[in-house]
Amino acid sequence: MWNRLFDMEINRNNYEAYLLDLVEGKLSAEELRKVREFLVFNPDCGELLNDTEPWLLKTEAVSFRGKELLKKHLPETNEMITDRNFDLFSIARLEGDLTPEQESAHETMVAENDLRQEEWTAWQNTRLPVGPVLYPGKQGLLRRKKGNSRILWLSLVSAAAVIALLFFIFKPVPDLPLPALTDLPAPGPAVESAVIDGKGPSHMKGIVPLKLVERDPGNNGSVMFAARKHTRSPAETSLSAGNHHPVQHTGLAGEVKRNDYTLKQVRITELLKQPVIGINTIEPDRIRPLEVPPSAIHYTSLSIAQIASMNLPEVIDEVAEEKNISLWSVASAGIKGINKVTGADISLLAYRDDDGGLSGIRLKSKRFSVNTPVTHKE
Amino acid sequence: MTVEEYNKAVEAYADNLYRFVVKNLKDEHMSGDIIQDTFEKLWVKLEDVSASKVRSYLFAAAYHTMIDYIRKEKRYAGLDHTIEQEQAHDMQYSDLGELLDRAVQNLPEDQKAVVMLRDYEGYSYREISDITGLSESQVKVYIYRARVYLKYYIGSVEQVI
Repeated sequence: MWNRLFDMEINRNNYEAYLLDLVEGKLSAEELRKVREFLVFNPDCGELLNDTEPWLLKTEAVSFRGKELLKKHLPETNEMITDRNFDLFSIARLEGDLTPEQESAHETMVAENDLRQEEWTAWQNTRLPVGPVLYPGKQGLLRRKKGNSRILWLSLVSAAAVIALLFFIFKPVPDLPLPALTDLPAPGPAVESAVIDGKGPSHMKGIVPLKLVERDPGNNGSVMFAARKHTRSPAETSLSAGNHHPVQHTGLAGEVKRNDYTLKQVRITELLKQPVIGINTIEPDRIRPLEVPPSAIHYTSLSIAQIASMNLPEVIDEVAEEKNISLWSVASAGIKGINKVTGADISLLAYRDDDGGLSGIRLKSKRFSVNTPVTHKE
Repeated sequence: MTVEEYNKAVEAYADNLYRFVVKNLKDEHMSGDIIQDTFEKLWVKLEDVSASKVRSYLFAAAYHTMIDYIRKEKRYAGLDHTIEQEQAHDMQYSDLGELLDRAVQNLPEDQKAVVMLRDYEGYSYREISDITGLSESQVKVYIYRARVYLKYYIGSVEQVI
């Protein structure tokens, strides 16, 4: 077939391959025409066709003489006992495979012949005696309660991680009212606004656009501004000023002299890796405190049934608030736990919109990647 | 299956399982390990195995562990085993049980296991098929072949004695 794959012309160097295909009937009509044309001009090459028999193996009729011996023969229900099948019937009787009629016939044959009686006894002796054998380590196999702590721990960690993830994914991130703004005097007309950096998909990698709106030009050239953005971890936000002076502000509103800064970009750094330059005290992703008194329950002392009956999202909420940890920390801890125990390589990433708000979550590993959008409730 | 049912299974079947394995292997230490391994498997799958099926589950698990072990051991001990079989007829036997025990050891592993399940545990062809993974007709044929071998082995030795 190689000659046709390369669409080669038939010649004296490759004609055998064409002839082989001809014998096997694999040539197309066009190829057949070419071969015949070739043979007209090269009749000596066609001599091979007169000797095609050795090229092809003929099907031969070969039978295995011992075939009958291979067949299994077991007593049929309508078969009757004879001298020839006595042994077969003896085994069948031993195994309880005979019909009542067949068993009766076997019994009669045994009773009538001493030799058959001996034979039958010999067959009965092939049955293994059921003697008492005691297993010495039996007590060691008994269990008091199911205590496979590793599996239990793995289950709990996995469950906690999944719950934390679900809670994290589906909990709406509130569009915060920027509480510090409420303390400001009534805003005048915005004199300047800017969207800084972060256009396009690069913001997914950590550069987050910040919309800065000047609220109230101060008397001495200072500007009150509000940063309209919602990040999951505002404490990780740094705001670079033109002269590398940090922009000082309180909350999401601040005061800064206009000439002192040129905003370049706002970068969301990795969790706690860089010192906070611009301090933003609003933490929109912190879990809101529950309106219940702190619980004195020690969770490690609870039974599985008790844990199952609890409202786990609330528990996580409560513990997270008490320990002052964010949902990111809870989710990351769960993911780390799963990775550590199972050797997986799962990581949790966040998508952010132009305002820095959380727009989606990506759960990924080498084998899979799941993107989940997050909708913000007004 | 509950912990209580598991413990009942230990009480009810540990000895039978041990007999089945130790008669096959003739190695008490290894047999003990297989029994522990078998019940460990049951413990792990406790919620998946119903109390009514636990006996079959245990015998199936023990059978497959045992077969794996035998196949592994045969790679190293094949020659010794053959010599042992050839010497069997020269040994002296005090009673039929001992003779039968020796005869059973000469059976191929599959035949040995099915005939033991049949005689020791009284399993049906169908149940043995479920335990071993062999077809029902295969089980039947193995049992018939085993009986023929045992009968003629005992007969030939008795004639020598």
